[in-house]
Amino acid sequence: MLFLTCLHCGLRSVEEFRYAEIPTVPETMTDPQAIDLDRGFFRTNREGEVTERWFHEFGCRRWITVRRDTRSDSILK
Amino acid sequence: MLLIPSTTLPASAPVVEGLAGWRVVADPASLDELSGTLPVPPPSAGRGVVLRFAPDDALVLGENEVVVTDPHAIVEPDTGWVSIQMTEEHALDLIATHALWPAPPERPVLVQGMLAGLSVKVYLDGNQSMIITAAPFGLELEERLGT
Amino acid sequence: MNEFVESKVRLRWPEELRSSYDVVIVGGGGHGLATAYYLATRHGITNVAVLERGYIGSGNSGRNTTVIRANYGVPEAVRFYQHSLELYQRLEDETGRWIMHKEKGLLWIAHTEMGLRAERARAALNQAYGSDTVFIGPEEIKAICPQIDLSGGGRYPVLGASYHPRGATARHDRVVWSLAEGAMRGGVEVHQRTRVIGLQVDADRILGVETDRGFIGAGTVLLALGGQVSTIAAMAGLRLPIRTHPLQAFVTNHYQQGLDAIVASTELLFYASQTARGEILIGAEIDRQPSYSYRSSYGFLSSCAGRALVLLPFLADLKVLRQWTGVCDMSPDYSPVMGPTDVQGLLVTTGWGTWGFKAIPAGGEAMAALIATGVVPSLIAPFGLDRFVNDRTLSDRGSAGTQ
Repeated sequence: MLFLTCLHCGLRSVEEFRYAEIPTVPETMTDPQAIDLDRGFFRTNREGEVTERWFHEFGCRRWITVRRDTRSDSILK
Repeated sequence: MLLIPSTTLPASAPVVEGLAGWRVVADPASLDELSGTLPVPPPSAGRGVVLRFAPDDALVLGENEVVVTDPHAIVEPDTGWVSIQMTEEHALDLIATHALWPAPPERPVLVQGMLAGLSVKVYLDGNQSMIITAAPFGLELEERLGT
Repeated sequence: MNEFVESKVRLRWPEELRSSYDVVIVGGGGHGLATAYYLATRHGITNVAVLERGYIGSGNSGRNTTVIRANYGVPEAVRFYQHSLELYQRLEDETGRWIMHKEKGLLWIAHTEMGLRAERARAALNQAYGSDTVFIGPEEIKAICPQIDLSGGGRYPVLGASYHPRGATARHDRVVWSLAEGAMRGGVEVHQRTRVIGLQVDADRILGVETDRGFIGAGTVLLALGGQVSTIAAMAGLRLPIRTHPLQAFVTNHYQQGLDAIVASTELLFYASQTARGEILIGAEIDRQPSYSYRSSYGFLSSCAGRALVLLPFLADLKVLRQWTGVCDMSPDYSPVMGPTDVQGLLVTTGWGTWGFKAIPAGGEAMAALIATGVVPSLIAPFGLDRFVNDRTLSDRGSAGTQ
C-alpha cells in the first residue's frame, strides 16, 4: 500500500489522503482556447515521475506536495 | 465472528462524551506561545491543554478564555468534537489493533489519523488518554472500538 | 495457456515480422484482436499484424471482472453496449468456440432515495433505447438473489434495484483466444513479445511503428492498448483525454454454485458474481491516484470486503484466495474514446476504463468497419475524440460501477 509523509502528522496510508493533480499544458500550446480545452479534458498521463498535491483529510487537513513515480507507485524524495 | 463471553469487565469501557473547547486559528508563532503560557495539563483531567491540529489550527480545552497575540486570530467556541476517555494502555492497544500508524513515544502528544476507518485524534499524556473525533462520528467510533 | 486449451484452440504464431502491413494493431487484448477478427471475417482484410508486448490477454483483458451488460445511462451508450451484448450472445456460434457465456441477470441496487431515482431513470432510459432493464422492489430482489440482506446491515437498506436480465459473464481468456484463433485463421499475424517503442509520422500522416524487433510500415495504425496508450500516442505528438488508474479485484476460494445473479451497488461501491469455477469475484472502485502499477493493497481488500459483507453477509464465512490489479484508462466523461485522430491513418480505441470487456465485440466490429471503409460507423460516431472539442461529452459516471 502507498504511504505518504504528511509534514505535520507523519507517515500515513494513502487512504487518509485526497488526491489532486496539477494539470500541465504543453509549453508549445499558445492559443488560449486550446489551453482551456486541454486543461479541461486532456491529460499528460505521464508514465514516470509526476508532481502532485495530496490533502491530509484524516489528520491536519493540510496540503502536501509529493513527487511520485507512476510506473511503480513509489514516492520519491 | 465468534464472540467469547468475557468473565471480567474491561477496565474502562469506551463511552463517548461531548467535548467543549475553543477553536483557535492563528499564526503558528502565536499558537506556540499559547501552548507555552497555559499551565502544564493535570495528567488525568485532559483539560487546560492546546491540541494542535495543524501549525495554524488548535483546539483549546479546559480554559474559560483564550487570548492570543495574533491580531487576526479566529477564536470561537467549538462543540463539534466528542471524546472517549480511557487509560493510555487501552488507547495504545486500540492504536495497535485499528491503525496503520504507530503511537509516537513523546508525552504529552496529539496524534492524528485513521483509526478503525474513521478520522480521529488521540491525545496521550502518559497516564490518561482520549480519542477525539468529529461529533457525527462519535457513536460510530464507539461501536467500532467497542467490539 | 495450458495443454487443454492448446488442444482446443489452434493458435498459429508467425515467426517472422514482415517489413510492412496494411494495418498494424498495437495491443493484443480483446479490442485489438476483435478488430483483427472482424477485419478478416467481415472485410477480407488480412494483411494485418497485431503487436503485443507480453502475451495475448496479459493486460486488462485478463484482469477484468468479465461482466457483460448494457444498462448504461446515456442513449448512445445504451445502443452501443446493447449491440455488443447481442454480439456476445452470438459469439460462440460465430467462432465455434466455447467462451463460457452465461446469462445471469444483474441487480443494480439502490439504498437511498437518490439511488432509487437513478435506477428508475436507468430502467426507463434503457427500455426507450432497446435494452431490457426493469425497476424492481425488495421482494423481487430477494426472489432473484436470496443471499442479499435487505436491511443492508441496518445502514444500507435495500430499497429497490434496476434489474438487467440479460446481464451476463464470459470467460475473458477464452474470449481473447477465440478471437485470436479466428483472426489467425483468416491470415492475421499476431506477434507476441513485440513492444512498440515509437511511431513514425510524416506531415501528419502515420508511416508505421518502431518496435523492439525493428520498424514496421503501415497504412493504418490502431492503438488498442490499455494502460500505456497515452505514452504511445505521445510518440505521435497526440494528447489524449485519459488518466490511467489502477483497479483492484479479488476472488474467494471455490464454492458450490449458489450466487446466480450479478450483484452491484454503486452506493456501497462493489460488485460481486460467482465464476464458473465457483469463486466469488468481487471488484470495486479505482485507486484515486493515476498510476501504471499493478501492485495490490491490503487497504483495498479490507475496505472492499467490508462493504460487500454489508449486502451479502454469507461472504463472511468465505476465504479470500487471490487479489490482483489492472489499470483503467479513465476518460473525463466515463465513456470510451473511439475513432480517428489528428494524425491521418492513426486510430485509437481507448478510454475503456471499467467498461472495456463488455464492449469487445462491438468495439472491434466498429473499428474494423472504420478501417475497412474509412467511414466512422454511426454506432460509434458520438464517441470520437472530437466530442470534447464540440462540447458533446457523454457523461455517464453513474453507470461505470466505479468512482
